[in-house]
Amino acid sequence: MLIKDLAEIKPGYELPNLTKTVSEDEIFMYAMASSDFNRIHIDSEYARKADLKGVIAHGMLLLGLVEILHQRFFGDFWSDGGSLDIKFKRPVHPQDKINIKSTVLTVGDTQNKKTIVCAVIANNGYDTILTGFAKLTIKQEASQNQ
Amino acid sequence: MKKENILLPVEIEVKPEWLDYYRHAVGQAIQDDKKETVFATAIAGKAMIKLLEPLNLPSGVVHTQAVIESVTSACVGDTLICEGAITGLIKRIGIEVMTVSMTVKNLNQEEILKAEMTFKLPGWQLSSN
Repeated sequence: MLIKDLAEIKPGYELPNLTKTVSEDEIFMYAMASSDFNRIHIDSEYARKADLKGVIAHGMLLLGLVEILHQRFFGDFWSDGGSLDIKFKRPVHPQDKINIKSTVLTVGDTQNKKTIVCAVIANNGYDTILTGFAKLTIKQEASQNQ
Repeated sequence: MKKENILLPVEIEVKPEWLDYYRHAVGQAIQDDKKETVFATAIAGKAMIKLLEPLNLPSGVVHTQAVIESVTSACVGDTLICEGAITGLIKRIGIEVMTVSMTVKNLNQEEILKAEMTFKLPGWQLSSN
């Protein structure tokens, strides 16, 4: 869902959630994309020896999902002014159903720019897997031309 | 910044081949079909791995935090230069935590993104003796 009017965005506004179940194949696809073949992502036995239940998803794969949520909502504004600050709290295993939520915390307006800060949280249905912030800075000229 | 903390610059090409894997993994790799602009996280993930390659880090490294700031877009077909440095290295009670800061630019020296990532490195375990 692409936001039509930035003026609608106020503290408390919830962006549309993003939900995804990550498969082991998708984790391997991410390894192919990024060239990150760390064995905790591709070798179940190794991952178990590292005190994990099995292979885990790359943190950057999860960050990609967070970015998609925000880019789908903010559209073109995101690519030239979006930032993410995310802490990975718990590993994500294959078949975990991830639910990512972003809620507007603050909206700042100055002469030159508009700044929107969102609180981001994701869970696997039981536990929090990541938390952080998404921030969007829009030059006021750009937002007025929307 | 100490010289030994600076990582060797690396080049990455924004190629459809790896973007296709990314799309299969994450669901989407291109932000805008007309301009073929690519998600910053797709670039940052690939760039960081290439930047850290010479360190030959052991398997078992766990990503604990990522800060990524998009400055301007990169497109399919772009060649990007990634520069970075180890900006933090803490060792405490058998745990080693490393922070790496990185900048990605295009061949026109325009900044595409800035990133800072923190990793927990597999270290020695406390002896039970």
